[in-house]
Amino acid sequence: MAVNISYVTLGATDFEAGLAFYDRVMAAIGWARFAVHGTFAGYGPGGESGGQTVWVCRPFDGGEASFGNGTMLAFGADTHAEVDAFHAAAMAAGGADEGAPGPRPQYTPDWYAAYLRDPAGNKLAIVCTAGQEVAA
Amino acid sequence: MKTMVSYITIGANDIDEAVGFYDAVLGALGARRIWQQGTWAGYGPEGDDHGVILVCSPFDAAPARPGNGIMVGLHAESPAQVDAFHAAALAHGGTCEGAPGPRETYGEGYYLAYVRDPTGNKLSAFYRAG
Repeated sequence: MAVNISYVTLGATDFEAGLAFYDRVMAAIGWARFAVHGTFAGYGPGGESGGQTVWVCRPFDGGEASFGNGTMLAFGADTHAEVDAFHAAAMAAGGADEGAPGPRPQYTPDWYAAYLRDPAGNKLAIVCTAGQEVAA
Repeated sequence: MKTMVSYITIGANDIDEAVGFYDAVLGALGARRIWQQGTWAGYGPEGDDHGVILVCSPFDAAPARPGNGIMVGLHAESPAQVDAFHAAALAHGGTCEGAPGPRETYGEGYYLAYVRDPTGNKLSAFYRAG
């Protein structure tokens, strides 16, 4: 596939706190940590390392981690319930709310999302565009 | 499968400069600009109508600023694409953070380059053989 994100790194102010946060929050959408190399920890869907990955890390330059303004990483969710669970897990694990789970019809008719920050201040979104769930 | 990285936004202080940079750099990796509305522009592969990389002015209207520890790694299909990515970045206001080449310390078959965009956001192009 042409042009895709292979991985994204996110700086952690406190590496252990970063792991505690992402271990809990990523589990809400079926991601798991698959590796820790020093102060780099890799997460992938289902704990797989072969596809897209996110690495929580201490910055390469040895300086302090900081969040970017204008930078936001958005994860896809399969259901509205996953959006809710991701946001709830983040709030319980030391994250900060930047927008409660709910529809955002001003973006697209099916946009259901929540926005938050991790303990280092990195802004995350969790988005489901699958529409309303229909009872099976 | 939807459970993956959906998109990432990257802050820009000068959208015209940023669009010039990302048109060239993402173009080298096979992406195109899908849309632009004001100070937001979306880039993605053929067939995508939303965008995987969204270049934007920050939501809070404060100046864009790169984060330390944040880097977006972009998939390259060949070492030649990594080379083209790096050359396009330097030709359009980017700076070098690591010349194109193998990275044996990562393992066999890795070939990467690292750059910063005009705002200072760090990017890599990532190729892995096999």
